[in-house]
Amino acid sequence: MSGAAGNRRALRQLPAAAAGQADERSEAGQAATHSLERALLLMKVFQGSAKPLSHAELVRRSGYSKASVSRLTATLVALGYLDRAPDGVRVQVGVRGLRLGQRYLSNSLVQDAARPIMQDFADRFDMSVGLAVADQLDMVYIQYCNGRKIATLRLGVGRSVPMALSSIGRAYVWSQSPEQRQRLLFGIWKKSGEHGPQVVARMERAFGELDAHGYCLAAGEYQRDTFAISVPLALGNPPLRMGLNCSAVGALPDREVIREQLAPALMKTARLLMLELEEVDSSCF
Amino acid sequence: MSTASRQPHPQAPRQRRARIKDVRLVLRAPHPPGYRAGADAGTVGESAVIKPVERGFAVLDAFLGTDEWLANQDLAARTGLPKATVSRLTQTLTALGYLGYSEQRRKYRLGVAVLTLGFAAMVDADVVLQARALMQKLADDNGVFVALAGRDGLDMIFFENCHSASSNATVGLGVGEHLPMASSPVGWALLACLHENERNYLLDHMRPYHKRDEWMLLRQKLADAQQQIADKSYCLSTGDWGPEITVLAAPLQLEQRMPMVLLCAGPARSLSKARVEQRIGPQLLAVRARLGAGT
Repeated sequence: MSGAAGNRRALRQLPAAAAGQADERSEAGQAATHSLERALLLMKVFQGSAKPLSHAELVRRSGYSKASVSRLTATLVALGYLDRAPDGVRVQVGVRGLRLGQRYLSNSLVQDAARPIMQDFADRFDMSVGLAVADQLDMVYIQYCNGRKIATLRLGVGRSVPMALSSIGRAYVWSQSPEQRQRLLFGIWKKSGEHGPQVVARMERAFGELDAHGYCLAAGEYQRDTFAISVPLALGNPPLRMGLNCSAVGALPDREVIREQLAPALMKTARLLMLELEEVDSSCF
Repeated sequence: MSTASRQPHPQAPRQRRARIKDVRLVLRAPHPPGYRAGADAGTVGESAVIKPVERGFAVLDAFLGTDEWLANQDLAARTGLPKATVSRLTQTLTALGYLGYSEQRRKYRLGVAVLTLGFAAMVDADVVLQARALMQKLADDNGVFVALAGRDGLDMIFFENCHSASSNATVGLGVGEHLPMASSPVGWALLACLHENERNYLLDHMRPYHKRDEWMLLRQKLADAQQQIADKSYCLSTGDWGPEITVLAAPLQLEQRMPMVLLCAGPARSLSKARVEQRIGPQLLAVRARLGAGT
């Protein structure tokens, strides 16, 4: 103890060396937060599903080494964010994260304000309507309303979809400033590996649609047998960019119907949401 | 006595001492520290826990208290971590979207990425999806509140709540909300269906949070609930959850699932003993059977 103190005193007289030590310490700090980052990313590979995953599957999805996946899972199991599946081998999402998500949603001022406006659209067209914000290279739904016919399901809130593969993500990327858009595209390119060129090309096609009409379509790309129409929007003060979509199971309706009815109605919903939340502090979203 | 039960958690002595003063806070808000680590000690060694990960989640957990916005010094006080560590963690968590920062307030709050920590998985888990329609029907038919709950540490957490459309008096609880396990019939139903070792383990950990007399009473009630569940598969209690509230709780044990509790609650005056025994009780058990639980 006193030795360490002595060292510190000696170092104070040597500013260069002291600076070196500070650097070292922040490097150790970085290594420390790095493992936190990896643990948080490991939670994301479950993709919002309650299905148990095997160790090998986790290694494949996360890209981490076997040993670090073991260590991270052991920690997350000990903390309750993951649970061992009853077979004792695979792991599944634990109950711990539910309450953080719940708390976030109950704090959020968007949830309640947006619901009636979105539900109105959902009921009118019997489609699902989702509002999503960006989370790194994903879009996370913070509100999701179903049409009356499927009211027993509440799939949606908290679910995330890849920005690159969903129309809602593409609409969000399109609405960014040129530099930010470039940065996101670069991240997506890098993450997509060998598929990078195709993924980005498909995004750019969507940008063309958005330039021309203000909305974009996706049919059967991320989820089979579904289609979605998405528009970008910015809510609150200062404006926070998000995406709004409507989606349904089945074949894409006629172009006419989309152009004349659905897209204008969705854009109107977006405008209503913007008006509703105009004065609200967006740091409380 | 209480020191013995703390033995398995040498890693968090500081937190423990800070919290022991405020018993209610311990029970309502985050886990008693180190609890899970102890519960899984059979499969996971304590040394296996990666410290920075544990600390990062401790910072997130601090936001489960009453305050929405917290500054670094508040977080340091709540987690018992050094301020430098806290500011490094908040920086990382903010960069990754798990926290949001307000320049104006100079404080943090939970960010959207916390939804990726399991919210969607739990809320839309297949059991819950399957149960929802059945539970809603039960709620509407009988004018009661119906819920599905599981264990989170020493608390019960609600996975799904169905409020009756036909009755305006209902229980004001939302999905993801917590109740202390030891003092509610919902918790007793869960404890009753656990293996004796696990039950005793949990009880040992709850013990320090209760006064002696209170604890004796709770043990009595738990034993009573256990007896009722052995007799008729559900337990009935009036007044333990709240004044004038009657609760029916039945343990739900599904294959490949952690144990859960299916419960009904409503105003005591409308849930007469005869009505419960002849209608609601059997219907509750029927829902349970439909979900695939053996008796």
